[in-house]
Amino acid sequence: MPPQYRQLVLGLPGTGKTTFLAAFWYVVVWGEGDTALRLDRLDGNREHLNRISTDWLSCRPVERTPIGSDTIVSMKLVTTDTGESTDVFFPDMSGEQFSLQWRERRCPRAHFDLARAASGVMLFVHPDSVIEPVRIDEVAPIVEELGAIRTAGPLDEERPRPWDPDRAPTQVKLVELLQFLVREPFLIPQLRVAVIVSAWDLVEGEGSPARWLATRLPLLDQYLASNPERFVARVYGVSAQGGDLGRDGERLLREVSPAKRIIVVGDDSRPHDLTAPVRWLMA
Amino acid sequence: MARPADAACGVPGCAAGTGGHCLEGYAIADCPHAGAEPGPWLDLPEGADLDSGGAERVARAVTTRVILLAGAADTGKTTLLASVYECFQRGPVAGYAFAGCETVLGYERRCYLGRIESGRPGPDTARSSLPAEPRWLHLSVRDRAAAEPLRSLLFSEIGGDFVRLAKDSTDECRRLALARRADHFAILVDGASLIQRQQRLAATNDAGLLLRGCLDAEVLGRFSFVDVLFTKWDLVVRSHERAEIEQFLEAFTTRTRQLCQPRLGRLRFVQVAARPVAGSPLAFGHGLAELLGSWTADSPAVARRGAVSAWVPEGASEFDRFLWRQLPALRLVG
Repeated sequence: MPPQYRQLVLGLPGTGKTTFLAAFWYVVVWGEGDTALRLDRLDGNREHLNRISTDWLSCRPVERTPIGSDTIVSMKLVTTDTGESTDVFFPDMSGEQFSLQWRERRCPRAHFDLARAASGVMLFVHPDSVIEPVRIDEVAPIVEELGAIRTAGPLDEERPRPWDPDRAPTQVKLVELLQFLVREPFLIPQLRVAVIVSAWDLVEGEGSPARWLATRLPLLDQYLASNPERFVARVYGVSAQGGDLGRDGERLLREVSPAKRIIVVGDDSRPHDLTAPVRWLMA
Repeated sequence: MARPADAACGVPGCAAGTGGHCLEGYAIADCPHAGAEPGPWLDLPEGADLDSGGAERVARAVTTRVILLAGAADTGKTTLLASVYECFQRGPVAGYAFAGCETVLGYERRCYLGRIESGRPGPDTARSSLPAEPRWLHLSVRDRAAAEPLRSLLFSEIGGDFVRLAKDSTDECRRLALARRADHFAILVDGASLIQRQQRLAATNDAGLLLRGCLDAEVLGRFSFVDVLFTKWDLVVRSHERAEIEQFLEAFTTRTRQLCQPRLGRLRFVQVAARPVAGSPLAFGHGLAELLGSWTADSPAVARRGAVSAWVPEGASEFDRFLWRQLPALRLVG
């Protein structure tokens, strides 16, 4: 029986988890380009993977996974460097599931079972959906200069918006999701974590993915670096679509080899090799 | 009650029901969780302030510094703690990186009114209603190279009501037994009071009386590290009477040092501006990095290593009692 690797896929809603999976499936099936993993053989039910992969190929937004319709997909893959056969399992989980963990402080048993069996974590972040911990005193001079307070009329100081955990900073939520894994009831001793900065085409001018993480999500960066006994982390910049579907859709559809749309930046990864983070998690 | 060998166990992570080992080491027939069906949901850590049990669990796990903040209402205790957390949101502080936090929601609630998400025109801090039993905020930090072990910091606020009672009564001071265990005891003096000539003396006098009271009640002593924090220092900096205030504080610190320093392990006076007002020349978290660095690195428990000290046991001989009187330097407290 070949070794089995279960990857845990973490990420808040709309961070590109399903799009990654859709493109990944295409890449391993057709083996386009120089990839670290390719499909060994087709096996089992592939309806979900084929459906989302078709969306990806057609440059349509890949349908987001609604809560309650989580799917675990398995793939029989072979590593191109050693020729070793493996079974790789990915849960395609709704990002809302993770928002619930943060907000309600509980998780489905199915997630617990998945996490306990996981050999690695792919942690997804989308640059456009990062909520930063912006303090009022930081923006006050700008606001004052623009006269925004005056034109907007007096703000109601007595009745601020009530605290909403959903509006907490992204980095705080992601740290907490990782903390859940190493505390009770999970108590996972050590994990590899591939931080996937999706839609990398939006921010590729901002330095390396690791640099981006340290700049935009410094709390998460500190947390991973301070806990090397718990987490071995790498940061990848990934654009599974290769661009903005509205702006670049035509260009992307004209690409003869769809895998070449994909952008991957990270240690030991080739430019279009979407399998590199997964291969690293299996090491 | 015996559990059928094929029954799933209700204990998260237990594999006994599927033929593996019982997580708690029971033989299948003796398992007290027999028949417990696994629920569809698992509870996750609350992330709120810790109670004493939670704080104790943290302190048992790793090297922990206990820091108590005492001050009258609105002296800035909560803002100080919120600002420490906010500083880590931007990067390492005083050479220490954020390494974890068991009270994320506790901090988030406190920070909320200082963030644009609140929709407020100016920053504020969610007031903490302090319960009778101490509640704790937690931070885990580590040197940036991750070469040294993790350190936990446990913060607790001592509310204005208690401070008022404690400065007036030795018995009330004695109730502050927690201070004996604290690595750092911080007394906050409100900068907003310092800039008011009428309130200046009372503010510093209250802080001094609290310190004297705790010393005389022996909840602070030769192995206590005390910081007197002049909070909201940005208000002093922009005050027209800054020079006068500084001169006044010079006299206060000299007087307090003379009276109290010989009875303490360490006494410092620190200016902080946890969240300076708009337009202040002081940066956000002014003074906090130095404080956090020393709170993390220093502990009287480390400083007194090597000293042979012991409490006088009940029924000690007169010789032992004589030794106790003659060698105050070896006492834990007093």
